[in-house]
Formats: sequence, C-alpha cells, structure tokens
Amino acid sequence: VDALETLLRGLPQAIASGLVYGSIYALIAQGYYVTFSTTQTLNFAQGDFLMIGGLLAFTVFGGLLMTGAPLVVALFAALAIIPLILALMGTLVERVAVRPLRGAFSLGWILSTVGVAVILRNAGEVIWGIEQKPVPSVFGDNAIRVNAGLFQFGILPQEVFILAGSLLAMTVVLVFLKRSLLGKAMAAVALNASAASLMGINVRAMVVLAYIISSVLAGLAGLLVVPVLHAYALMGVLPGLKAFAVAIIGGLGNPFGILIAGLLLGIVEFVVAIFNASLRDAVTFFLLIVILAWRPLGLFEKPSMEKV
Amino acid sequence: MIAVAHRRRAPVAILSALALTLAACSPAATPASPTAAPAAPAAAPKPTTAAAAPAAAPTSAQPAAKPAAGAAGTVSCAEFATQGGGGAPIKIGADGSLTGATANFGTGMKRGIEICQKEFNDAGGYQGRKVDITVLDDQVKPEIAVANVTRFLQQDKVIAIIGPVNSGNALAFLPKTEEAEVPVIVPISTSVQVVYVDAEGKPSPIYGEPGVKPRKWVFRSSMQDNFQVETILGYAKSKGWDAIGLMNDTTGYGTASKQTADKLIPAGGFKILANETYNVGDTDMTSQLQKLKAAGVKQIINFGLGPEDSNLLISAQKIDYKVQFSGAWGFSDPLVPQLAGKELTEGVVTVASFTPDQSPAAADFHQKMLRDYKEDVFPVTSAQSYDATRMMLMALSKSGPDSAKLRDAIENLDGFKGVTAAPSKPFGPDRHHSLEGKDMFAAVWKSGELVKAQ
Repeated sequence: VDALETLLRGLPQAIASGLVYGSIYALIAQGYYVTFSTTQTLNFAQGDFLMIGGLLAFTVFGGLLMTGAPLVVALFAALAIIPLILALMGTLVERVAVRPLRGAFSLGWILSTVGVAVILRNAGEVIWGIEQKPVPSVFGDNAIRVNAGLFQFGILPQEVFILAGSLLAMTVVLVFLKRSLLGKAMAAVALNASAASLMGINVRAMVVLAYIISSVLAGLAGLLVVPVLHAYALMGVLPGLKAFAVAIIGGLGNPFGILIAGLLLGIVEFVVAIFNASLRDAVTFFLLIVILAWRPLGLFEKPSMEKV
Repeated sequence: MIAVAHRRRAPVAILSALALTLAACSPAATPASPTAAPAAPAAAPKPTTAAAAPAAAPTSAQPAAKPAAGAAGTVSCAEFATQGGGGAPIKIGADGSLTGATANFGTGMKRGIEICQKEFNDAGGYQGRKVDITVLDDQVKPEIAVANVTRFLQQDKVIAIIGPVNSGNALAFLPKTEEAEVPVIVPISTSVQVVYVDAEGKPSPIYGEPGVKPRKWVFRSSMQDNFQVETILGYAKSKGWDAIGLMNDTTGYGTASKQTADKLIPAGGFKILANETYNVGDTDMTSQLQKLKAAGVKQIINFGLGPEDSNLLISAQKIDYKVQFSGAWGFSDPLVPQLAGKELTEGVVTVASFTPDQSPAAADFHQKMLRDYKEDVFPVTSAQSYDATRMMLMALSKSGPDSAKLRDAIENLDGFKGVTAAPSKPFGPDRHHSLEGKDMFAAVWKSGELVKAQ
C-alpha cells in the first residue's frame, strides 16, 4: 500500500519528465531508422552529432549574446547554422566512414562510425573543453507547475519546447519520407537498390540524403536539449546509447514503433527512479537485452515473410 | 514454397549494440572516475584574533599591496626564506588537472602554488637558492599523472611533490613516490584512502578502523571526506535540523560518504526521514526529490559533485520544493552557481576550510589572488594549495633540500599559520591530514560568493 501511494504520488511527474526525455531518445533514434532503412547501416556517432549540435548552440548563443542580440535571434541563428554544419558532417561520414566499408558482409562501418564517435568526443574536448557549460533557455527558467491534489508536476518551459520540437521534427521527417518524391525514391533504394538505379534513381545521392537527414536530426536534438543537459563533450554519450536501445526496442524499420518505444522508455526510467534511482540506466539496457533475445526485430514489428 | 522469418537484421543489431557499448565505455568512464577532490582550507585559529583586531574591520577593502609578512594577521611565504650564497634551484613537482572535468580545481591549485613560490623566491629562497615548482597537467587521466610523476622523480630529481586533484590519479601514482621515498602533500583530493592504508598496506576507504595508518610519505592539506561529513552533521546539529533527508551519488565517493554519515548519525541523535541516490550524469532528479518532499524532508544533506549538485537545485525548483540544501564540498564548486544560477544557489550550505571572510589572513590571500589573476575562480582550492606549499617550504627551511629530512620536518611542523583553517600543529606520526572536523566549518552561498555560515 505504501509503495502504491509513492507510485501514485510520483507518477504525474515521472510521466512529464519521462515524455520529455523519451522524445529526445525517439528523435535521435529516428536518425538510426532513416539510415538503416535506406542503407542497412547506422551512424554510431549519432549521439556525438547531438553533442556537436549542442556545443555549436553554445558557441552561437555565447557569441551573439555578447553582442547584445536577444535570445530569440540567437535561437534562429543556431537553427540556421546547426543544420548546415551537421548536413556537411553527415555527408562526410557517409563518404569517408561508411561508403568505402559497405561491401557484402562487411561490418567495417560499425567500427568506423564508432571511430568517428571517439574522434568527435576528443575534438569536442579539445575545442570546447570537457567541463559543463550553461546555455540559457529562450523561454526562461520559471517552471510551469500543475498542482491538483495528488496530481502534481512541474516542467520547465524549455522541456515543453523539447517535447513539441522533437515531435514536430519527427512528423516533418516522416511526412517527407512517406509523401515526397525524394522520400519515395529513398524507400525504393531501401527496397532494392539495383532496381531503383535501373529506374533512374540516383542511389548514391539517396544514401547521402539519408545520412544528411539523420545528422541534422541529431544536431537539432542537440540544440533542443542543451539548456537542460548543459554543453560538454560527453553530453551525447548516454542519450545516443539510450536512443539506440529505443531503436532496437521499437524496431529499426518502424518509425512509429520508435516513437512509442522512446516515450515509453522515458517514462519507465523515471518510474524506476521513484523506487530506486540507481537502477534507472540499468533498466534501459536490461530491456534492450530482453528485446534482442525475445523479439530481435523490435517490440512492434511482425516478422515479415520472405518467399523462397 | 517455404516461408522463412526475415531475421537478417538481428545479428547486425546485436553486433551494433556491442559496438555502441564499446564506443561508450572508454570516454564515458573518464568523467565518473574523477572523485571529488576537495581543497583543504586551514582553519584560522583563535590565536590570530589579538593581532588581527585592528585589521579586522577593513580587511576586504585593503588592496594588500605587499606580500610582506607582518601586516596584522596576514601571512606570506616570504617568512620562510633565508639568505645565503645561492646555488642551483631546488626542484619540486606539482601535478593536477589544468584541463578536463576538474579543470577549475587544478587551475585553483596552480595559482595557489605560484603565489607562495613567488613570495618565497623574491625574499631570497632557501639560503639564496630558488625553489622551482613545475606544475604539470594530468588532464584527469591517471596514466598521464603517472607519467608526470615519473618525469619528476627520474628526470627532474625533485625533492617533493604537491598534488593531485583527483583521488584516482593519486592512487595511481602514490606507489611510485612511496617507493622513491619522496614526500607528497595532497592539496585537493579528499578520498581517505589517498593518505591512509590498512594493516596490510592496502588503501583504506574508511578512516578510524583498527590498524589503519597513514602512508609514510603522504600528507594532505585537503578536506578529508569523513571529516567533511562530520562538519556538515555538526552544523545540522547546531541548527537543530529536525527533518533531514540524505542524498548521495552512486560513485565510490558518494557511497563512502554516505557510509560515514550512517555511522555518525545514531550517536548524534539525528532524525533522518529518507535516503535517495542518483547517478553521475543525471539531469532530472525530480522522482527522488518528490519522494523526499512527500516524506516531509526540510533539510537535504547531499554527497555529490558539482554538475549533479546543480541539477539537484534545478530539479527541486521545477517541482516547487523549497528545501534547505547542504552537503560536502561538491556544492562549493563554482560550476554550481554557473549551471544552476546564483538565485537557486543562494543559501546552499557546504563545507569549507577557507572563505575570504574567515580571517584577516584569508582576506589578504583573496586579495593577492585578485591582484595576480584578476579573479579567484575556486577560492578554497587555491587556499589549500597555498597552504600545502607553505607547509612544504616551512619544513624545507628547517630540514634543507633532502627528501627524508623534509618528510620528518613536515610531520613535525609546529607553529604553522596558514590562510585556511589548518591548525598550528597540522600533522603527527599517526595523523597525516591537517584538517579535522573541528577545523572545517560550514559556508553558505550569498550572491554568488561563499561566506562563512553563522
């Protein structure tokens, strides 16, 4: 009874915080989905692309605020600069670390993108230093609080922005992939690259595009979370790992599964923290292992039949 | 026709998981290992008060023009200088994190050392010989700390070493300095096992167990963890705190401090309503804080490091939980007001051995820092390092440049007076820490500055 009361008391806050953090994991995980569905490869530096996005936001904010520009201007400047640089980085990673290693049965791209992750972390450390740096939120620091008897929770305006921003970004990407001509071309490449090529689709360009989209998503995630996570060279490590767990749990080929898995995992984490906070991160990776063993295609994905 | 489950992705996914874990392990481990490195401020003992009386009022306003000793209540390393024929410089090594997660601590350390070194050398050094203290950066990495110390011992032939910031780095290099029989004074790192070993010579995480004794060649001017716990609990007692909740991070540092607290609590008659933990890297601790709030906790005593400490303050504000935060010296990290803002940090109580308002000598030292560096980033780290250097040079003035004699002189120091709260007889054969629970004091954040708590 005691435990139940604690749970009920803590639940509204756990759901609020869980949705915010879960939406981040889902946003990064969509990046894994985009490249995996087109090329059967992943960029394991995804979390560190988020870090670069966050640190670029720190630099842009810092630089512009010093000249006396208002925060909103800094936000829009960051919104313009970060996708540009991240798109460039995505192209580069595909060209240098993935394409040369994508032969039949080759798993070299796993190690090479992990290598990119380590390089980025070290570069971040050298350029920005490892200590955590504050980045102000455009929306201020005054929490929004809901207080109705047992139903109480607080949420920072920036966290509402994170939730809304990542849901918006995911929607835009999914609509693009499902509805636009380019998106359909990417799907065609995913299904059968040689047939797509025969149909006049530029396969290479589609692969590069997939990497650009996933990198930009990570960069935008960095911009969204940096006021809450603070800017430092290791800020992307845990979110990147958890997003990977989300992608596996939701199913690497299932964007809606990823979204649901992300939000659920966020909530589960915070509910676990109500009882034992030190188990919080462990639960995520325990779930990852269970899903890998039980449903390797993800919680929501039905094994597709292949006719032989 | 046979239907086959499409399982091609599974092995890739598993491998990928492995790879990711690999990717995360090496660098992610680094931020966790830098255990809290506390600075050891010395207690400004009562004896100064008579001399200090005239200077007490205008202390902070004084520009502290000269480092000369003798101004009422102030101290200078020039006191230990002696004149003489001169000769080759006497070499001392210093190791600490000038970059990395604890760069603030290392930078504070370096500056404290430099001020003392300059005062000593400008006044003549040791019989006309200068001391040459080389400060090397270990980047919070144990292997670099070991390389630095190896260089000091083999190439520079130093007579003594000051440092480091991180307990993990200390544990990595101390076997080398012990073997070389070179004295070390630790100005920042706070872990008990840096200085104390058990009967079998293994690092002892608990102070005061039977058979625990100091390492022969290692001393500290820093705030040993167990005494910090004692100090903050003493403050809680004196304030009559009656609804306490304990929090700690899940590192070795946090759990060891929690264990010490658990041992002291029954005797102190404290009313502890709840215990909660959090992981390094956590940014949202609302789940835990809400439980403390529901349990009626009015005062939180916390053992953690700067980044998580600041996230605790932010999380409490989020759920509108107005609670008295207090804890070990993680809360005195300048990162806390930087990340959480001055407003949320206001009134948070921490443990200190130094605040600029704590004595005339402390105020004077703070002015020296402002004069030489235009800022005093992390005052307690500079003060503890200044005192570590003072102890070493005071001993040197008695023993001469010989490692073994220097060690004995450090152990037998008497009549020491520093800028921190260190007592006049800082060490003894069984005691290699200068600061005890009774020397340290509670400090409180007021408008972005730490001041002595009333």
